Amino acid sequence: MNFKYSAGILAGTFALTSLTAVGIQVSKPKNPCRIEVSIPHISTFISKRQGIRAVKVNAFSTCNRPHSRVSLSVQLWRENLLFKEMLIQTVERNPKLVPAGMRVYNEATFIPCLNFDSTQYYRIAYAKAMIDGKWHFARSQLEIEIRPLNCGT
Amino acid sequence: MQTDHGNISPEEIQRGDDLISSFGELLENARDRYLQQASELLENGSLEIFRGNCEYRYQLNNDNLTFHVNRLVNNTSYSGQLPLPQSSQEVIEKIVTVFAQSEAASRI
Repeated sequence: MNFKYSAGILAGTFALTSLTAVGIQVSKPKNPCRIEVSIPHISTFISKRQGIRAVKVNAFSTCNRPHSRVSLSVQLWRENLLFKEMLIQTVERNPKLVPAGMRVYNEATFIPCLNFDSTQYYRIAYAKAMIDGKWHFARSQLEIEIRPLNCGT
Repeated sequence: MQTDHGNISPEEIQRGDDLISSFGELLENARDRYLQQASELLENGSLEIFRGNCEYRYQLNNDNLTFHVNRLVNNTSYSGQLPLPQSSQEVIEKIVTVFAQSEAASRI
């Protein structure tokens, strides 16, 4: 095989690969569903008798098309020096037809603080919904953002 | 604008955090009932309650507590799982908070 011929094959392969890559990028459908999740934060309730502090995560899922059978899962994790521990996992489910753009909330993922010890928290969330007979999945950002809070649990 | 709360609006955050008030009020006002329920749950390993328009199910297994709330009025549900502490007094307190948490979540 002479150089010109092999160079031609290489160029052709490169062009085909590039076209394929472009083709995949163009044809890849955008996920119709997304979720939004707050970073763990302290939420408080103060009454005459007591004060309550809790580390809490709020989340919602939404799709740009009518969807059904939504489940939105949220996990709250604590990171110690040596290990990570899941404190609570919750799932909000809505089997009914949800109009495009309407939000399904998971607002009850929290753990009461026992003291003011600085503790590292992060959250993971993911959702699924049925659109035209197919499951669609969404999840929170891949990088985990760890947040120290004065809330020992 | 992207904040610590992502694209969740301040109103949505506030509404979500109002749930803590509901949780706190339940802890204050229904503690005796929760202690009775906790005793039943610890004795039987599971507990099922119909209250208001909701069905509540709790189960203990392998040092974990799972709960499930069916909101019968709109056919939605909320469920969860969390590990239980080691000491028996801490276990009771944890179960009591889960009763209040699941009832607060049933009102959403």
